Amino acid sequence: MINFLFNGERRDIDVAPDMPLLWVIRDHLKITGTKFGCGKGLCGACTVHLDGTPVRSCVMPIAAVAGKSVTTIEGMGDSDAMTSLRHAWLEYSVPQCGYCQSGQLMAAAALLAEKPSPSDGDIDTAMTGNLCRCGTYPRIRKAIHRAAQLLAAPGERDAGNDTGADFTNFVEVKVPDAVEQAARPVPQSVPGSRSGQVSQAVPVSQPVRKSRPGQASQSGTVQPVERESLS
Amino acid sequence: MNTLITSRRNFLKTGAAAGGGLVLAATTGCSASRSQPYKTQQSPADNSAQLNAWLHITPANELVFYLDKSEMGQGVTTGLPVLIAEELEIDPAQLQLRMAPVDDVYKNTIFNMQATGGSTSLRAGWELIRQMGAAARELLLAAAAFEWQVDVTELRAGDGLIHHRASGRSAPYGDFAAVAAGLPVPEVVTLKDKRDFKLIGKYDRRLDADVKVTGAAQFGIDTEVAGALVACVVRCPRFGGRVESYDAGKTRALPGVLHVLEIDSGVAVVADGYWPARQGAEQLAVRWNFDDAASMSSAEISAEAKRLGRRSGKTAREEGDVERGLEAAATRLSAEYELPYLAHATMEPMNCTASVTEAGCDVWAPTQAQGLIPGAVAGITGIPRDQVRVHTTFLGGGFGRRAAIDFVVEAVELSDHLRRPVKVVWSREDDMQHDFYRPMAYHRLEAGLSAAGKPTAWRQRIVSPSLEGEAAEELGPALVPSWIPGGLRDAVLGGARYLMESLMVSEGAVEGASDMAYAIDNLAIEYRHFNPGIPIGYWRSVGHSHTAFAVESFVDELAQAARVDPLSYRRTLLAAAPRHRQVLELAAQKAGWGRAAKGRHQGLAVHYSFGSYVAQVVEVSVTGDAELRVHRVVCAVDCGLVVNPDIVKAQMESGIVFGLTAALYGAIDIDQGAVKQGNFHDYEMVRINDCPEIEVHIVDSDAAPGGVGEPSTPPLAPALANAVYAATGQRLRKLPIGTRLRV
Repeated sequence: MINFLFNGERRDIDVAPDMPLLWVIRDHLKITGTKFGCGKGLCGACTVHLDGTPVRSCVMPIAAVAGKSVTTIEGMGDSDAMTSLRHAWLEYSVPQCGYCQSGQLMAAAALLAEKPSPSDGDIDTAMTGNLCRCGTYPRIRKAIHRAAQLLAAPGERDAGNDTGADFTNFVEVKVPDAVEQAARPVPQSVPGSRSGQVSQAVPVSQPVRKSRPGQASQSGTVQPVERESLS
Repeated sequence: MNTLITSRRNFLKTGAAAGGGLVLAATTGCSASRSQPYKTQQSPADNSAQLNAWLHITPANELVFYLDKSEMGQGVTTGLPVLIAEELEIDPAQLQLRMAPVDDVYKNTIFNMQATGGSTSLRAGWELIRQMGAAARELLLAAAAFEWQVDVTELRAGDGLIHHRASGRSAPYGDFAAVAAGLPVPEVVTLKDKRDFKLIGKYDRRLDADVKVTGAAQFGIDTEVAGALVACVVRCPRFGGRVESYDAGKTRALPGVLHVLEIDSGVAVVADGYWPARQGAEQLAVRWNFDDAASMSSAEISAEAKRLGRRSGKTAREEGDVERGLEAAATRLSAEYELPYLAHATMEPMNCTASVTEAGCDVWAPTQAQGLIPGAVAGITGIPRDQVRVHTTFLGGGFGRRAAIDFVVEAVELSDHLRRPVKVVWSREDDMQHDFYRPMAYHRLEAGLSAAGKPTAWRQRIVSPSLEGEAAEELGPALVPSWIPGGLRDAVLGGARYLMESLMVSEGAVEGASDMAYAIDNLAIEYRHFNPGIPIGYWRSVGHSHTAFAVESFVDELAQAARVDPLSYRRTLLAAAPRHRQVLELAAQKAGWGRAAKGRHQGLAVHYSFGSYVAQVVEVSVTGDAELRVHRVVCAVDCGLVVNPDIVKAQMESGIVFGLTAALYGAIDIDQGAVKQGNFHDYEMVRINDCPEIEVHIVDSDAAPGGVGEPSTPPLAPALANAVYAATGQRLRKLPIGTRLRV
């Protein structure tokens, strides 16, 4: 059992210790904003923050994150850096196919956290590990500079530019009844399996600090604990 | 005013249904049951209205737009909504976007199949989608006139509302949708005049940017179907090889691995997640049968292409008498250009989720070729085509790779076998080593110049595989009618390939050369077919990706031999090609042609493809130790009337970076019929630190819209090579160039 903080919530997970963090996030926690691109730490599509530092989750064994805090694009919430970056990304219409953009934004957020006003050289250094096959690099560069300005003057950001269309039902994922009946649940434990057992998440809205470390909740899962107590 | 008779095939007949809902049938000849968007109408509970196959309006005023083109970054989720919104008088961001199912009504009018490619989305939709918007607007106005008992001329549609001027009354479209759907479809609709456009040519946002900065956009690999298993497939490293036998002992012992089975493309390991499936695939011991496998290596392929290039080929274009033109020349030049196979390397590796049940087959795929899927599924499973439901996701890049459906076939085969939903996920290595590659190409050029430096003759011989021959065999099974028995089908397809390769000029190999615009009296473009057994496919800009390199490099060589500035030389030869000249002059002017800063050197190229004209000036420097740096690319484009200026710019930038990656680094090397490269360490991409500044200038034009997804890729490589010549005096005739030049 490996425990870590995932987007601010405690997770206990029972998988092979060498399973990369990426596949724990995607296949077990079912959070898909973090992308699979190369599996070798060469493209940056899987970039997440580990205790605030950008790492390639496709080559990070889950055992190495025990007791640490993992943040994905979904967990960045309304942090100043990410809000500024998203605003700038929309202002410059950065995404094309969009597949690499979670990783780009995570790398850029880590850069701004360290250097709120980065130079072109800083951007080169921080972003060179993130490939974009659509070639959005010139816009990424401009948008990072713009986000730095917005960080310094957050008032400009408040205007907002929520111009997206509604993609809620873009892809039909509901399967016909017959399909659901035929689709038996994945066996949770194949003989000898160490995979597939994930504790339920506790809703984000629940006050984290009120619960005592390790206390079992009514649903049999484990309550979130503060980071310091994990190890 | 632009009045068009609308084509009946694009509209729907309407009628009343039992239970108070509305049943709408397409007038396309396809049956209503295949028309998925209309399905919801049949529920009495849903009182919404389908005004045509693209637009659906609910009483709650939800405006649902069915997109019939895949979004792979080219901006179609903005471009097409802008077209319909312009005529429908709404803000495009008001639309709910849904991917359309497969239906004959959505066949791409340019290649008569439901598919996305060839830079056709806006070109095909330009009139059609606006007509849909205009027709819906007219229906809503007529419905409001009926409801309010006023004359339709007193009404106006604007901001998603119907307004009645006299009474000051207004109401949302949704209030009239149900009535509108019962009215006869207008035979004639009037499209807006250009000067009345509020969105077209102005709208500068991307509707899909929001969902792509939060991680919410759903790509194929993100498909989550209850109970789905994950599969990794081990394929023969050498193309054309088959499974002889395999030992799955170690694989089956791994936790999480559930099944190991042979499918057409190799051996599949099916598990309860990607990681166990991948580990299982790595533990699998497969013995391959190489009897029919490709065996050539890159060096042999190159040598054989050169040998073939010595003899004349089939004529793709012939004007005047090249032999006489060469004899009359004061100077003769010849050159050979060579380009390698290239992988697409989309950021999202190939993947597909399929679910085969008694109720048919559901396929979730990041695909450019929806239209091929029902036929392919029918061939594998025996399920009738009308029980195959294709759900298109966002595509993490396409570039032509996802026009092939090999990854769909794998998922369908597995789900058919296991009767479980199965998601097939390729590794990067799978993706790199089992692509349908941009074909290698060898060009042999010969020209004569008069004493004044004018070309008297141009002969270009192109040796390259035939995309049409490949397509006949690869795509054929999904297209041949299902009543043709399997054996006959194979014979037909094999025959089609043979005929394509032995008798025909491959358009996909000569395009961009056979239609070159330079005025040369004696001209011959020849094609020689060559098939080294490596799978090939459509790669961003297809044949133009190599023909432009040969043509635009050789024109530069002629200018150099004639001792004329490359810009002036081209302008003279393009006297009768005003749109080529205009982009060339614009790019040169904006780049400050001939006035590069000290240590910087410029090269240029101009090329027409996919309905658009693009010229580029590339600025480079070469350091003392021969290190090449690309500083700036200035691009001018005439793509006719522009719908979304910022997306045109983004696509130009994208095609330039794609072309630069190919020119600097792109090479798939073949070792005895297998691909050597495996991941981004040996198939490198331009990264942010070596990406030049890019400037795009758009020509103001009223011509019909041209494509923008591909046309900026072809001119990049020759403009770059011409700039390197200006810097070093070295002619680079073989791609990739690399960043370290030979000294």
